[in-house]
Parts: sequence; C-alpha cells; structure tokens
Amino acid sequence: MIFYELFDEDAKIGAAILDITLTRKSQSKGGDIPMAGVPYHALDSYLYKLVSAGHKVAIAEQVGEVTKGPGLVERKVVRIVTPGTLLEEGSLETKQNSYVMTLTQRQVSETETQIAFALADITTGQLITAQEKCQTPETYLSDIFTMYQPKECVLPDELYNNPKFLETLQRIAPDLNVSPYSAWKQYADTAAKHIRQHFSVKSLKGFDLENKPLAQEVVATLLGYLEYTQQDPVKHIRGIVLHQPQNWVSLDRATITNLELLTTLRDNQKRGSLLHHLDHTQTSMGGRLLRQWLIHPLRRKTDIETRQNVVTFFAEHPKHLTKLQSVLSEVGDIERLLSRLSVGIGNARDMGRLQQSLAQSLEVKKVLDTLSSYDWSRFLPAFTTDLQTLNNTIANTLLDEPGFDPRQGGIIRAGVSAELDELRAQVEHSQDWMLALEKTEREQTGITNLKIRSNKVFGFYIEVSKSHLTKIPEHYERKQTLVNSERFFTAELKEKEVALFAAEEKSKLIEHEIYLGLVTQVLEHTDALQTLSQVIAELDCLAALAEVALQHRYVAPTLTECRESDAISISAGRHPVVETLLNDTPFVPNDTQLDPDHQLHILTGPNMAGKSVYIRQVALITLLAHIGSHVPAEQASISLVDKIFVRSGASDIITAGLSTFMVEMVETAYILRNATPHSLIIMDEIGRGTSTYDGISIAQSVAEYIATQPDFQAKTLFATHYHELQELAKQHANIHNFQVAVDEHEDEPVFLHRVLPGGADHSFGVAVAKLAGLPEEVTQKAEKRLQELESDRSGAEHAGSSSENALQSDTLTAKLSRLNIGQLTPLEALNILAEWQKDL
Amino acid sequence: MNTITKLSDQLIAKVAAGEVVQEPSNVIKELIENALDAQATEITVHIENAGLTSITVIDNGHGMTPEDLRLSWLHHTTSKIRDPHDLLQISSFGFRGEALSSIAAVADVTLRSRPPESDKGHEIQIQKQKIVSDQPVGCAPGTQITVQHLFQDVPGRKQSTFKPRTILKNIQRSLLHHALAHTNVRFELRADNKLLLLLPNTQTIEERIAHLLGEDSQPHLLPLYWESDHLTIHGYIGKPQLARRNKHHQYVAINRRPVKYPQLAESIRQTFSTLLEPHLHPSFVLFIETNADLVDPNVHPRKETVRLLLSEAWFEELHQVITTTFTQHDIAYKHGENWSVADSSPQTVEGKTLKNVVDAWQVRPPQHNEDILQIHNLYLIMPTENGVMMIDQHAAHERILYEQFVAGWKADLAAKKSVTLETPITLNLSIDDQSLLETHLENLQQFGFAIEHFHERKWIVSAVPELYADRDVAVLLRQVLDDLEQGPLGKSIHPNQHRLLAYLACRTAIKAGELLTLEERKKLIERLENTTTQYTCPHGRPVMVELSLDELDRLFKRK
Repeated sequence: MIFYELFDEDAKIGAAILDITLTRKSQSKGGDIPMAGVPYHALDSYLYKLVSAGHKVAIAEQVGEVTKGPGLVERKVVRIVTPGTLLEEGSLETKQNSYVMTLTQRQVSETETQIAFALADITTGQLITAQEKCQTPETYLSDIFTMYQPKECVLPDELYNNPKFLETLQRIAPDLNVSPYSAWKQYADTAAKHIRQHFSVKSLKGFDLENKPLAQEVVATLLGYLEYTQQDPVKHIRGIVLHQPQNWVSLDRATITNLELLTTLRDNQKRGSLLHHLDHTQTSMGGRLLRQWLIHPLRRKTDIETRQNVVTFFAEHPKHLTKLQSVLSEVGDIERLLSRLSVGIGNARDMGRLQQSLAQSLEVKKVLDTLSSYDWSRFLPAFTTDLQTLNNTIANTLLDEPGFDPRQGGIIRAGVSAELDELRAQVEHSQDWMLALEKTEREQTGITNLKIRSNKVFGFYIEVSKSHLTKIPEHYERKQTLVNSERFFTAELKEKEVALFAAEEKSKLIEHEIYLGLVTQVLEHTDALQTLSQVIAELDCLAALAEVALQHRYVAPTLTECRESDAISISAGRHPVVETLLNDTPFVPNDTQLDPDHQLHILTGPNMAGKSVYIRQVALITLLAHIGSHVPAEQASISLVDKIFVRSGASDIITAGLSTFMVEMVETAYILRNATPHSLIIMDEIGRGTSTYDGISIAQSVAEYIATQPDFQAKTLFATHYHELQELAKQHANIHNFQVAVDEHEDEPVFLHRVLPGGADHSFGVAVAKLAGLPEEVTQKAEKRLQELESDRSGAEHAGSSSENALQSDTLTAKLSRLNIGQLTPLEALNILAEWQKDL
Repeated sequence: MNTITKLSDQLIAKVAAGEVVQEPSNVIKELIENALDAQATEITVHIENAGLTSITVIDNGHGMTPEDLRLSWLHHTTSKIRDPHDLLQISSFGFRGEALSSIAAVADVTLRSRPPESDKGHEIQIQKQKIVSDQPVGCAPGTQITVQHLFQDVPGRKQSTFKPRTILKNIQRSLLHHALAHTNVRFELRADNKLLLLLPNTQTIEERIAHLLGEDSQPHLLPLYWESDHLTIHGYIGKPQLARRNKHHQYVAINRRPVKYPQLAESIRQTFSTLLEPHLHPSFVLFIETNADLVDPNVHPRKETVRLLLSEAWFEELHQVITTTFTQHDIAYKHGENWSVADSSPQTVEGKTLKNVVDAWQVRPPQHNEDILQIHNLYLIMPTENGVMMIDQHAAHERILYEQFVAGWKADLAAKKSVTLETPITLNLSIDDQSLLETHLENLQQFGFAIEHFHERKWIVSAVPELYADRDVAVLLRQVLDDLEQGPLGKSIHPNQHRLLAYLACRTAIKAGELLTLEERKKLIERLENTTTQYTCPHGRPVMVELSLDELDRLFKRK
C-alpha cells in the first residue's frame, strides 16, 4: 500500500482537517517527528479537503530509480495544488469553469483607477484578460467576480499588504482564497518577453496587448504562477482571450443576481435559475459554454441570428435534434482530459476516454452530413482528417480497458510493438514453464502435492508439506519455513525467475514508452482538439436551446436595429422559469410594448398579483433573444439593447456596512449615470427603504428624470407601490400607467395576473394581509384607518389635487436645485423669485 | 310494497356514465375532443397515478364564458348541435352533450376557462354532481379541466382493478390517435410530472406514425393515395413483415376522427390474402376524408365506431388500388425474413437447438423399430399398438423445450448460458411494445437477455441466451412480445414467467418446415414421451393426435 505522507506541522494540520491518524516516525538521528498519511488511490478527495480548507498542498514524488546504494531516493515537488488549480475530477464542477486570477490596479488620476486582471482555467486551457479604467473600482470588480467567480486570487505585494483592499475583496467575494506570489515582481519586470516566449510569438500585437502594460503584467505573472504550481510549462494554454464588454450586453452584478440568471436569490443554488432551466447540454464543455453565453449576451444582430438560425432548424426538426443529442451524450470532457494529459497527471484511462470522446465527436460530423438541408460549413472544418488519424492511432494502440497506471503495464494492445509482443510471450512462456516444472517435479519426486507458487517477497518457490520433506532432492535449497511446509528454490528456478522479472520490467518500460509517445502525439494536436471541443460545445448549446424551445413552446424572436424599429414588442409573453414551476397550471401570458412613445411604464398593483414576475419576464425575454435563443411568447420583436439593469428594492441585498436604502440609492445612481438610449431598465419598488414622503419624492423624481431627460431614452419598467406616481402619465406623453388586474369576489381579492393599461385604484394591501393570516383585529383596524386616509386624500383632491400640488412643488424643488446661486446677481435672483411666485 | 323503485337522478347519471367512462383513457379522450372542438392548437395532459388520482387537460382553444361553464357539465348540453338537422352533418367530435356530465357523475371536476377576449377567467368546482364553488379566477386563455378521484364512489369500478401500466398504455394510445389526425396541434403528456410524450406541431405525420408503429417500421411502409367521387383515402400500409397478432397497429381516421372500422380492416386483410399468416393482421395508418353527411358517428356510446354509408363497389375499388400498390413495390415473400409457413424449402436443423439445451436424457428404447415418417416437413407419423400416431413436430419440440426451460429456470440454468452480442442490437419500440417489454423485463433478463433502456423508446440488447445467438433477436423479441400480448393460453400456465418461457419455447422450437433426419425424429419422440401428461403446446394446440384402429376402420367403412 503506497501512501503520501505529511510531516511535522503539516502532519498536525492534515490530521485535523482530514480526520486521519497522527502518528510518529522515528528519525535516524534520533527522536521522532509527527507523521500522517493518506493512501495513494484516495489522494484526490483528500487534496480537495485540504484545499477547501484554504491550504496549498505541495506534492512530492519519487523520481529516481530505487537503487541499492545508501541514502534516500531522489524526490521532487511535482505539483503544488491550490484552490484555483485543482485538476482532480471529483473536485471540479463539470459545468463551470474553475478560475485562478491575478489582479492589480493603479491610480491614474484623482478619480480614475486602472485595473487589470487575468483569469486562467487550467482544466480547459482558457486564459482571459482585461485592462480598463474605471471610477468605481469596487463596483467594477464586483461585476467581474459575479461573472467569473474565480476560486483563487493572486496579488502583488503592494495590494496584498493593503488591508483596505483586502477588505474590499472580502466584501465582494467572501469565499475567495487570496495569496501573494513571491515571484510577482520578477515576472512583472519581464512580462512582455515571458508572454512572447510562452506562446512562441514575436509580438504581442496578435493578442492586442501591445499597449496594455498592466494587462501584460497580470498575464505574465499568471503564467508564471501556473508553471510554478504545475511544475510544467502549461503549454496547453494556447491563446489569450480579451474580456471585451463592448461586444456583450452589459449585465452587472445586481442584474445577474436579481434576474436569478446563475443562482436563485433565496438559497444561492443553481436549481431554479435561468441557467438551470436552459441547461439541456449533453457535454460538460457545452455546459460551461452555456453559462458563458448567458452572462455575455451578444450585441450584433448578425452574430445573434447566426445562433438563432441553428436553434430554429433544430426546433423545426425534432427528430434531427434527438439524433444529434444522442451522439453528443457520449462525448466526454475532451478539454479537461487534454489538460490533464498536458500537465502530466493524466493516466491511461484518461487517454482511453479521450479517444472514445474523440471518436464520438467525429460521429457528430456524420450526423451533420446527413442533415443536408442546412449549411453546416462553419462547423465542419473542426473535424479534420488529422483528428481521425489520431483517433485511429490511439484506438489501435491502447487496449479497450487499459490499466490505470501507465507505468504498470496492461495498457498497450498486442501487435503494436514486436519487442513488446515478444517479451509478453516470454512472460507467458515462463509461466507455462513454471506449471510444466511443477508437473515434472511432482512426477520426479513423487510428491503429489508439490506446488510452485510465487509471492512478492520471495519470488518463486517450490512448496513441500512437512510430511514429504524426506523426498526432496539434493539440489533444492531452503528458502522459507512455514508451519506446515517449507519452501525451496533451485538454481534453475532462480534463473527463470530472474529472466521473468526482467522481461516483465522491460515490457512495462516499453509500454510506458509507447504510452508517452501517444501522449506526445495527442499534445501535438492540442490546437485541433481544443477547436473541436469548442465546436462540440457550441453545437451542444444550440441543441440545448432548441430542446428548451420545443419543450416549452418558444418562438423565434425578431431582432431589430434601433434605427429600423426601436421597440420591444412582446405578445403573450411568459416568465421562462416561473412557468415551469406551476406544475399543471398554465402561466397567464401578457403583452408588452416599449418604444419611444411608451418609454416609461409605471406599474402598480398589489404585490402578490405578479408585478415582479412581469417586469422580470420582459428582461429575461430580452436577454434570451440576445443569446440567440427562442423566447416564451407567441410573438416577439426586440430592438437590440446594450445594457440591462435590474434593480429590486424588495430583495434586500444587504452588504456589510450599508443600509438597504443606501444600497438602493447607490445602484439607482449607477443606472441613471450609465444608462444609454439603448438600455433596458427594470426597477422594482424603488424608494422603499425610507419614509413615505421621501420615498415618493425620490421615486417621482427618478421617474421624471428618466422620462424627460433629453438624452435618457432608455426603456424602463417601473414597478411601484406609490400610486401617486400615476399622476405623471397625465403630464408626460411617454409615460404610461399599467396595473396588474385584481378582481374581487365576496370581499376577497382574485388575482387575474393580467397586466392592463391604467393605474390601479386600490391597493388591496389589507386584503392581501388578510390572506396572509394577520389576526382579524389587526386587519379590521387597518381597514378602518384606510378608509379614513382615503377620504382625507379624496377631500384634498376635491380641493384641487394635492398630488398636483406636490408635483408642482417638486418641480419647484427641481428648479431650485438646478439654480447656480453663485452665478446670480441679486436682481436676477429677485426676478426669478417673482416669476415662480406668479406660477404658483 | 314496491320492490321496483325509480333510480335517483344521481344514480341514473352514474349508470349512464358507465357507458361513456370506463377508465381514465376514456376521460382523456373526451376532454381532448372537447379541446379540439374548441379549435385548440396546444393540448397538454397531466396525470397522476395513472389518472386515478387526477387528470388535467389544458388547451388554448376559444374557452367558455361563466354561463357556458355552468351549463356545460349538465346533461344533454352542448354547443355542437342545435337541431335535428345538425345530426346529419356532424363535424365536431362532441354532439351528445354527455361527456362532461358523465365525467362529473363519477369524479370531482374543476372547470376553468377564459375566452381570449376577456381578461378574467372563471372557475367552477363540482363535487358529487353539485357545484361547490363558482368564482372568477386568474388564468391563461383557453380551458383547463381537472378530474380528480375518478371512480372513488362508484361501486363496481374499484380503482384497484386497474393496472397502471395498461392504463398508461391506453392513455398514450388515445392521445396518439388524435395526434395522428391533427398534426397541426401540439400534444404533451406528463405522468406524475415526468414527460411521457411530446408531439410538437413541427413534427411530420411520419414522425407521429413512428410513435404508433415503432421507428423501425419506417422503411416498410407503403404510401397510399386514392381519390374517388366523394371520398379521399390516404396514408400508409405496412408490408407483410409489419403484421401483428393484434390490431393495435391499425389506425383509421375519418374526417380526422379516429375510429374503429372493421370492414376496412377486414377488406385490407383480405387483399393481403396469402401474403399473410392467417392469424396476423396487417399494420396501416389511413385517413379518410369525405362529406359529413356520409358519416354517422352516432352509433357507439364512446363514439368508437362510425357508420360510413359506402357500397360494396367502393371496397372492390379499394382492393384494386391496394393490390396495385403492392405490385408497384414488389411485395412477395422473401427468404430469410422468418416466414416459416409458406417457406417450403427445407432447412436442416443444425443440431444446435436440440443438442445445447439438454443434459443427458434418459433414452427409452423405442417400442417399435419401424420408421418414423415425416410428411410435409411438419408431421411425424408412426404406428402404435392401437393405431397410428400423428405428431406436430413444432408443438412437440415446444413442449419439450418449455419443460426444460421451466426446470432450468428453477435451477438457474438458462441464465448462465448467456452470450454477449458482438454488436449490441437497438430496438425502437412502439408505445405498446415498450409497455409489454417493461412488464416482462425482469423475466427476460433472468432468462439470459441483457436488455437495457437507452433513451425514450430505444432499448439496447447486449446479450442473449446461448440458444438465440444465431437468431435475429429483434424479430424474435417482437414475436414474443406479440405472443405475450395476445393473452390467454392454456389456463394451466401461470404466472408471467411461464408465459414468457412458453412463448420462448415456441419461437425456439423446430419450425414447421424443417426437415428432420430419422435419428432426430426418434429423439424427438423419445423426449416427448418423457414430458408430463399435458399434450398441448403452450398455445393450446395439440401436440399429438392418435387415430385408433377402430377409428381407422370406421373411416374406411369397415365398421
């Protein structure tokens, strides 16, 4: 039984975390040290536990030959396992990338910070980087972390030793493992050179990194860090992808969280999220790609339509879809298998699985060839004849079910190497010879139960029971004595044993060599295999989207450029996730029309009635349209957007140190400053975290800003419980009121779930409270009080609309706040005052 | 004192309902037809516990107003006909006004509907034939009907007598029958929240046919199209190799209404004449379109059959059309497709079937040294003390094998002699066949078949008992499934395992048409003598018939 062992402090820590026995090992120079061990075959799970507990683990292996000489066998650290560089299958989420990140930032002016980060997934070979200027680094980083969710972050000393920065990171990503890297400066100083060396290129222009020194720094240090931990040049990282937000619809942290794109709000689980709903991918590679597609919706119509057309094809031909998916379901994770082989921790089984997946991928091409009614030419080049050859080579060399360890033999077929076959034959013969010898010896000695056996310690021996000891011939030499028998060897036996052992060892060596040759061949095809993986992943995602469309009756949306048609028109739209949770009750569909004449929708009505679901479904349908998917509606025409903002006052995302209201204001401010005419804004219950008058005022002002600010034409859905806001529609043509219809039956509300034009006149709050189970005394009193307040309010309306007054005074406030007092002369100020008084 | 009393209204309703609603699939059929009449293009069916706990049918048709809802479930209310004249021109499915009332008589019903023009939906709940709730409700446009606790208080139709698998099969068939006639409608069936059947409206008719006949049937379907004065018939007729023992693979729809049309089926069968074994029925999927006044659907309580006012001459013409189609496609017997009856070329028994199965048998010396005659490669004839014995070789071998299988079953013998197939075989099963396979899966596996479910209705056979290593396994299994479906065989053979063994024995045994050497004949008879005293094969046919000398004398009028 081979063990990996921990000593000294490591042993103590390890024993505690892994729940293994802490023992002691005596040292040759006297005294003893703590020791703990884990079995070789169970390393993966133990590694995972240690790493999850926040430790980095260095693995040292024997590299030299076992010789008879004195001293220890040579050992070397072959790998350092860190949270972001785990390659063990059991520790990885199959459908999510596992990133390690390097990060640095520099203050370039009083208000601007330049941030650069690099992310690498060592299991797939992906490397992403970006360098950007921003004014609110924390928000920027927060978005990046939500998008990529790295497991580990490596920092330069100046950041690692900055407690404020660490605090920020802790806030944004509490589970992140943060560490410094001693060689950072070294790589930073020679960044460009190191990158050129790794990728074997003459200039960084091809990666668009020429003028991005900070990005170069993080890329080079990341590569350095990876080489260090893997003790391997990580050559399977073949390219650099730029994180380019201008190609994607911008989704910030709040949007991703509030729309429950990747996880649910309630319990942060994947199940119940949009990703989970869409994920009908058959391969892990597809699963990872789908997640990326979801957080990076596309912006260009042609790109979107390229995807959408394939989805439409499969949705219209369900039989072909099933065919493709059944082939895809047999394709394993080529990317990860390749990476394992590349850094040297792959084994013969990995190789076998890679070959099977490769074979199956090539079957995908055959399926595409039969679907002649569609043009697959952008996918076909990935299925090269070279890969076919590689597949055949491996299949013809490796056994169908090879052994695990490539050094222990049992992995190569017969007929591959004449030498190997001969050696194997020799081994066979030796074994036959042993059996024959047994027979002969029995006859010659007359000992009928004479046995020839072997074990690891003594090798081969002739075993004779004590009763027959008298019959043993002279040339038998005693080897071992047991209770009931004795074991002997002869010169001949010894000779044969030595030969057998030599043949076995040699054949193992040859098998290992052949295996390594295969590995080299595979690695030579790294580019082709990675490209193939990407094509398979893409087909898988498109098929998954088609399946969703078929199962849930989606339609293909029409996408329009803003200049042709600047409208989001949805007929009978439904919420993609909520409709699947209703079991056998169908979702009540609703229409939506957002365009310059209907720019701001103010939606009122009681909470249980479905406001939040409705406004989110508009955002989700828009998002789905932008990733190339079909949408849950009878018809949809979506003009391209550049950003989607979703704010929810009701979901209480409380971050440490800031109150709910503050968070809300910060987020709202962000939207108002960053939205463009092509953005889509969803606001749910803004103004909730503060007193009523403040809330109404702020909500009203925000709404007016959105509707009247000349450059601000973003389409907005504004759900609110402030009925006062309905007045705005009277004054601005582009503001329209809507309500979630509620009927009444025997004094109880009946939620119709229909969104209709016109503001709600009733809040039904008390009715809902009753439904929720508040005690009767409470609800009765509430009803009485409500009636009082409502009659007060209507009284004021008769007297001349208090809300109008409120509006007027707000306008006054607005006017006042826009005034630049420092620039007014006293006379001007008086004139203005007189004017305002007249207006009143 | 009166012993005869009038039944209460409620009881009358239950009795009348008995004709219409016999099991969950009837409920679903009625509700689907209502949905189709409402011009629905999407119909979703949810069932729980095979429909005995709840059935929900959801459609996107034109819905009902609250007034309509209140009337709909009453007796003899319908929107489909108004006056007697309409009876002559029935083009909708429903016309009796009985469906919902029948259902409400034997279950709790919740009706929800919203016409698309309205924003408000309405719901009424009916329990024990009384409205217990009537209120507005928010719902999607269209109609949703939920039927719960079916038969809960109907004596004589206990829920426990229903086998879930059979019900599910019938439900799927019911749904599929309508789906075939309405390819523009999307159908979805979910059982206990699991998706059982999804038929998108982008499917072709051929894809839907594959659900009924099995995907493997596709290459064996012959297209048929015929227009005559008042009638058009089109669809597919299956080649002889698709013929089955049962009629589940026959489908006719008249004016998009699936019906049973025995005359047509019989006519087609006769057209096949000698191409088919006598007990087999051809597969076909046919659609007939005709004027509404030529069809009378008011014939059967569940509207299963209709009367078509057609002449003999029409059938004659049809016969011609089909025969022409056959000649066009060159339908004839092909050797090697397991057509044993008409295939008279002798096949020698390789010895495999006889030898492998058996251990040492006690061979009793035959009582007679005379020759045993084999005639027509089917019967063995030999003289006995009292007269002459005639033995059906197939039946005899069946009996022998069957008993060995039963004995081996107990000794687990058969299971050990399993052979892994070099290339596993994929079976694409129809809905019926899949249901059968699932029922008998365990037994088949114990017998030595390694069959696993792959995906939807595809199954993979990776190993077979040694006996069948050279056989066409797909055909064999299909035949055995057929047999199992047929049902009753000798009463003495129970339970499922034995039926399976019996049919396997039958399919394995020497066929009619196989030539036996003298030795083999002798062996066969010897072994037969060692079996138990029941002299019938598992299908109930006799193994041997003895003509006594007396009877012979009488035949020759000597007595």
